Amino acid sequence: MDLSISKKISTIERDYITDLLVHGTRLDGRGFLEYREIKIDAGPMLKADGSARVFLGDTQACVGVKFETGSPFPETPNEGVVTAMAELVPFASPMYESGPPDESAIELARVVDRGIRHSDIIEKSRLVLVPGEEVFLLYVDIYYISHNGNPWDAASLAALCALKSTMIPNLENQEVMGKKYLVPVGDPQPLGIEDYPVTITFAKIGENMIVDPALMEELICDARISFCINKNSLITSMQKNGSGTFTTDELIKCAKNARDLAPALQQLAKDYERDLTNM
Amino acid sequence: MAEFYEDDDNPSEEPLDENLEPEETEVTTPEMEDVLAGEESPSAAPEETFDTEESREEIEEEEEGQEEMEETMPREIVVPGQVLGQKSKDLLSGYGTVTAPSGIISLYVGFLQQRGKYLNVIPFKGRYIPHVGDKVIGKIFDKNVVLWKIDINSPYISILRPSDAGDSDRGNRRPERGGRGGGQEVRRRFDRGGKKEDTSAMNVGDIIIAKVLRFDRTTEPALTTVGPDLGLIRGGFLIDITVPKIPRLIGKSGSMIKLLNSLTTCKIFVAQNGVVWVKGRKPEDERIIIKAIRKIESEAHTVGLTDRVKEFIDNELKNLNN
Amino acid sequence: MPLVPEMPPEKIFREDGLRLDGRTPTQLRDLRIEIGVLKNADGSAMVCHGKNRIIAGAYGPREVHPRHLAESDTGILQVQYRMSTFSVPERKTPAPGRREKEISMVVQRALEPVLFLEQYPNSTIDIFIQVMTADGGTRCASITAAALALADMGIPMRDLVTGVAVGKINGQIILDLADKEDKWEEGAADMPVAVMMNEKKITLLQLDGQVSVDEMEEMLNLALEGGKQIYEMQKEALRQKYNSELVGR
Repeated sequence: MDLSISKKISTIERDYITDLLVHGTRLDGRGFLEYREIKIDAGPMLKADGSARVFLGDTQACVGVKFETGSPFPETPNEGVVTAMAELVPFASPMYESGPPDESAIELARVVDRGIRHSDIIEKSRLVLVPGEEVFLLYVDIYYISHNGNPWDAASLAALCALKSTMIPNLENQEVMGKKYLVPVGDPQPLGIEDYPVTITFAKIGENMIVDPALMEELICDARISFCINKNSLITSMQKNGSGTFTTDELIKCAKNARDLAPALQQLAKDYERDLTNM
Repeated sequence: MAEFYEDDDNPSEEPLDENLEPEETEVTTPEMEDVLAGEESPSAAPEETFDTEESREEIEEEEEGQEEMEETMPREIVVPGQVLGQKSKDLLSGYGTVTAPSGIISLYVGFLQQRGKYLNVIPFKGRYIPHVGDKVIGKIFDKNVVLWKIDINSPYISILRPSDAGDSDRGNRRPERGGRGGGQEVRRRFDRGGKKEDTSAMNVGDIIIAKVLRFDRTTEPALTTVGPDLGLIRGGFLIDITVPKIPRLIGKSGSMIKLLNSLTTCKIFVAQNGVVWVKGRKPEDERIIIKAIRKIESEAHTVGLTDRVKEFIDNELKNLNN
Repeated sequence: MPLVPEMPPEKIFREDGLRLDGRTPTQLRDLRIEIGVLKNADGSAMVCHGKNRIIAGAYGPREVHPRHLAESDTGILQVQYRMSTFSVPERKTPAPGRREKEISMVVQRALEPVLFLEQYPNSTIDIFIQVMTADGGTRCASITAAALALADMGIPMRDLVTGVAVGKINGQIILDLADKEDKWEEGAADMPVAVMMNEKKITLLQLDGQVSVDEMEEMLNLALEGGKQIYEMQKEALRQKYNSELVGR
């Protein structure tokens, strides 16, 4: 049906999907704890300082990292600034309209942002040029290209891989043509990210908890929960969405499942990193 | 409100035997009618019982006869702006083409075809444009007191008024067994007597089979659910296929659709707006049919598709039983 | 303290007389086209032209939002051209700037003549163009991509539309300017063109710089020659997409 007209799923489709779940299967035949096929490559972002494109089934997210230099935040004079921004490109879905980022886009940026921020993913001093005065500003820009459910996990994974591939220069004060500039010296270096934070999202439909919701599952779910898990199996952020509720048992079960599912996603990021060094 | 459809879980009920195919299966647009008539003319499929063995044999016989008529030569793919020929008394611009100073040119990406004097182009893709009389499957996505708004997968949002929404005096009747339109169990009738002038009978999210009652370019299409086999439907699943692929899904004289119907417990209704309703007695069967339909859609222009689809379904059924 | 800006090259031609990327004055950059790259869009195409990476996705005909833009006697064509923040060397702010809005309009004008919008009253055809990497001539490559997305959608079109840029650097007329050539200021001109190649009808023409009438004629002819090559590749890409389906699984 034409989702640009209405995001409401028909009763037939809703009943069908829910019934399948009651019988233990999903629309595409996956298990409840099974991810769709994931592919990661550098994507068509040739002028980014770091980039990655993630295909999660038919969902597609592109992330490009660009750096600038500037003043640090007053509260954190000895830290660089890392910001995430997300755009849901209107061609990604018939449901999307053109215009400034709406709540879904903002939510996507924040989910990814939290994952990066709380994982201490970048060693703080790495981005400092002149303490208190000049730091690197890293922009992690997410372009969501194709929507078939679960932008959060796709974008987070793409952001992680994009950061892994990001190279920043060594900068020195120099005078060029009578003006003072920051000039690159030597070869650019990677950011030196040690961690592998990945986001894992569950959708609740009735009593059933499924990971990596595809589009229709996402549209009919009562609630969702996303966990960010780092390389030490610690939860570094959580986010619940939707008007439904979770019991504590459900939450704990999801958390355990997230912890168990994380290594496979983290391995994909490691493979991407390894392929980078091989090039 | 009374439910007039059978409980699928109750094995003592009689099998689904109603005709889930549209009465007229002319899925062509008026302009395309001539074009497709000689080639793939879907005709109304007869009703079937669930005696699958028999049906399978019948189908195999038919298939052999039809094999020779099936595509054996690759057809030329043309693109918009491509000059197909020069207009003359023996060569004229047909469907999907237009005459320009440079000659007869294609308007679409599609197959080139010559029927007598006419050069036609059959596009690969296209959104559904409503035509009066078409049977469509639509989703109610909005309503107010006086009408329902229906999404029929078209650029145009359709409307359905209560006065066009089925006879209220069909009310409480139990469905008849056998005969065309006998399996009413999957159709819900509105209210129990007394006309309902408002829209309380159906809700947002409900799916209907309807007919296009009125449409011209200046007003939105109006639908009706008055008629046998029309009205609210429940159960099963929906798939969208692009409109030009509909003839392939139905097959010559309904061959493909009969094949699908016969190999599993499923019934398939192909509406002219490219929405397919699959309903079976077993969810596993529905899954197989859904996969088969997607396969047909993506391989619509290939040769020997009917055979491959049969093989595919046989394999899937075998895997199920293991 | 600002980052040192990227310096323009000292010379715009090499010692051997070829262009900086090794091309002759009348040579096109590499071009690669993929049709149907977006699953949800009604039609889509990706164009890789030199270093340009541009994705066009189209929906429609569909209902117009906001409603007041709808026209009762004809459909409308709406184009949105946007550059990603990382598409250029210095990060571009996400919000659309004047240039993007201008190009959106220019692309819309370039495509409208091939469509039969009067067949879709009260509807819109929406084209979204996202530049993932920009390296000169993006508006032309965008037109090329958008026309393919429209053809992929299955709406009737009188012809495809092909975008091609010609220009002048150091007084030399060249085809298909790359980014550095675009930015060169000496003896320079930049002339983007869009054309319905079957009948050689021009649907877009702009000029930055100064040219004589003779130069303009020469540039137009060069544009048509170069455009023809792109047009052939557009057609071939469309055929190939459906050809691969013919082969079957």
